[in-house]
Amino acid sequence: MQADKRSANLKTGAILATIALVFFAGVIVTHYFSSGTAALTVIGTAVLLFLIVAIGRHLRK
Amino acid sequence: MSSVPHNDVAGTDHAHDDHAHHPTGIMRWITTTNHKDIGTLYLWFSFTMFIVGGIMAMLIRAELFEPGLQIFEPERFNQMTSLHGLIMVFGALMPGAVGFANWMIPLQIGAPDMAFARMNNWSFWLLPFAATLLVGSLFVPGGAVEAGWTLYPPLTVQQGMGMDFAIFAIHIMGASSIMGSINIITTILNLRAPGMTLMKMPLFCWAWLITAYLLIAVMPVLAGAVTMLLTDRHFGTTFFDAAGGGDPVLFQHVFWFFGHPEVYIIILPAFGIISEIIPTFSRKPLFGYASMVYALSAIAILSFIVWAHHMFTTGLPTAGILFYMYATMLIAVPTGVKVFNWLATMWRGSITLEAPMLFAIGFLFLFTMGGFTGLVLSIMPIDIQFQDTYYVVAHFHYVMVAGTLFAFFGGAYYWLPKWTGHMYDEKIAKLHFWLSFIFFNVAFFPMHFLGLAGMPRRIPDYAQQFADWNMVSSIGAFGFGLSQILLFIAVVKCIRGGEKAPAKPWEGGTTLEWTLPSPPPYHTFETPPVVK
Repeated sequence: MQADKRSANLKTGAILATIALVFFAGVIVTHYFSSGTAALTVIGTAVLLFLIVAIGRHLRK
Repeated sequence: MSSVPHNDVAGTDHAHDDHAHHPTGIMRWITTTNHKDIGTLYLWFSFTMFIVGGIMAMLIRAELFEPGLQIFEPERFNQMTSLHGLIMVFGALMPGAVGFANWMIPLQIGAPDMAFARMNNWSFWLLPFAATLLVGSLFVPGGAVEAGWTLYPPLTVQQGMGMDFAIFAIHIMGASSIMGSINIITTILNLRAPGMTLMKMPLFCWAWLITAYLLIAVMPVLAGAVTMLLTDRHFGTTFFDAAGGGDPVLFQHVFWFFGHPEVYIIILPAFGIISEIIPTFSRKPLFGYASMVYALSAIAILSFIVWAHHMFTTGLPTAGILFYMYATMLIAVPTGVKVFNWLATMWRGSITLEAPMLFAIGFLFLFTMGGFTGLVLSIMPIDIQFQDTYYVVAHFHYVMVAGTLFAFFGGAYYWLPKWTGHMYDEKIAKLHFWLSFIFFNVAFFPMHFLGLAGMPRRIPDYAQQFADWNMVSSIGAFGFGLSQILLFIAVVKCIRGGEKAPAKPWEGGTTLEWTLPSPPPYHTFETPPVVK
């Protein structure tokens, strides 16, 4: 595989893995910041925004 | 535009692609980084788990064949229903979908392989260990998880070590799914053939791109939830323990925040497969390609704002109930767009009814029925009556089995000639369809009546008044289970030989995989095709 494709793949993969890690840690850590409802609201909004941005930007192309 | 006509593809010269340098024997399968091999591994794993989960289903139906306790103690019965759900969702359906993705995405977008070939190998080989943990939990002291696939506390906080097995199995399967999703997104975004814009991509790839995003969003949430369950069990935290200030209902919220999109994670790849089969056997381009993509996206996003419709009986505020009720009904709109477009594709097409098309039409009928009963359940006053009855069991089996599984069967017959280089036995495949279709309805349609009459789910014994329909349902379940032997026979016959399949066995096929010989060379598209 060409070097530029390899580095693009690594970049995309790293971004997605980071997002997954943030959601995993977020659903646990937000419980310590506030109530369970607030935690779910924060992580729920984050997840929904991620989806809207991730899918929406492809639809625009 | 949903497909790429062959004469629009340049540079599909595979003369140099025939150098199939790969290990042979068992090492080929253990060390392989080839997307076709890994796709095959996923599909066989999925089939194996389908059989394991199916045997559990038949044991459950044997227990319910007549009132009274026949085979199991109540605890063991609950373990069977819980493991059946977990195995079918995480072991059979999801890996099955990933198997199709591994085989078909690189072939349909003109990529030489998946973006992260080694990670692909790893994400598959995690699965057998997770499955062993899950099935093995039946044999540990206290047995397997008894709380249903939803794993609600406080029961799951109190249970024996079988619950720990289930938690670790879910962690491992979740990690595998996330790695698979990263691979799929990266492959689709970065390795498409020159000229293949996103809106020229086959709809199967679009369905998987959106599914992979859903997986990245929700699997970490489930992993977080079961991690909190684990720390509640062993490390003194009280996330879900009311005695320590925690909230068991919060687990339900977090679980269904994962669990409802999970339903779409399972069904969207099936939509993708159906969107490939129907145009091919109608010999027409897919009607409304762009609206199909928008409908997929809308379904995915809406799936995140409806989770509490699973929790109408937990005492939600009225405003919340109304929101979730209307939001759930809203999903019927993009789903209706899809069903309308499939029908419009078939309208005035030159339809032929080979096995893949039969399964696709069966899917259309039965999935739509499952969708309608879902709409019924979205209405809160009705849902409160039907909560935890067999009506719910009937509803989700119409979606999961007649929806996803029928699409997978159709997809398998559709692509078997490409995968193996041989045509499958059409007679066996058609018999497989008709027996599956009939016995599926015999098994699950009566469950609507049982639910309407008030029969609760997850019980090994029941009142005499439910006996007749339970007996019918059990006979249907045995028939449906045994019909799957035909699938195994058809696949094995096809692998071992039979009529040679041409590069394009279906004259209506227009996507890139049909430009390759059947079976495709071990390495394909090393020189990317140019899509004009």
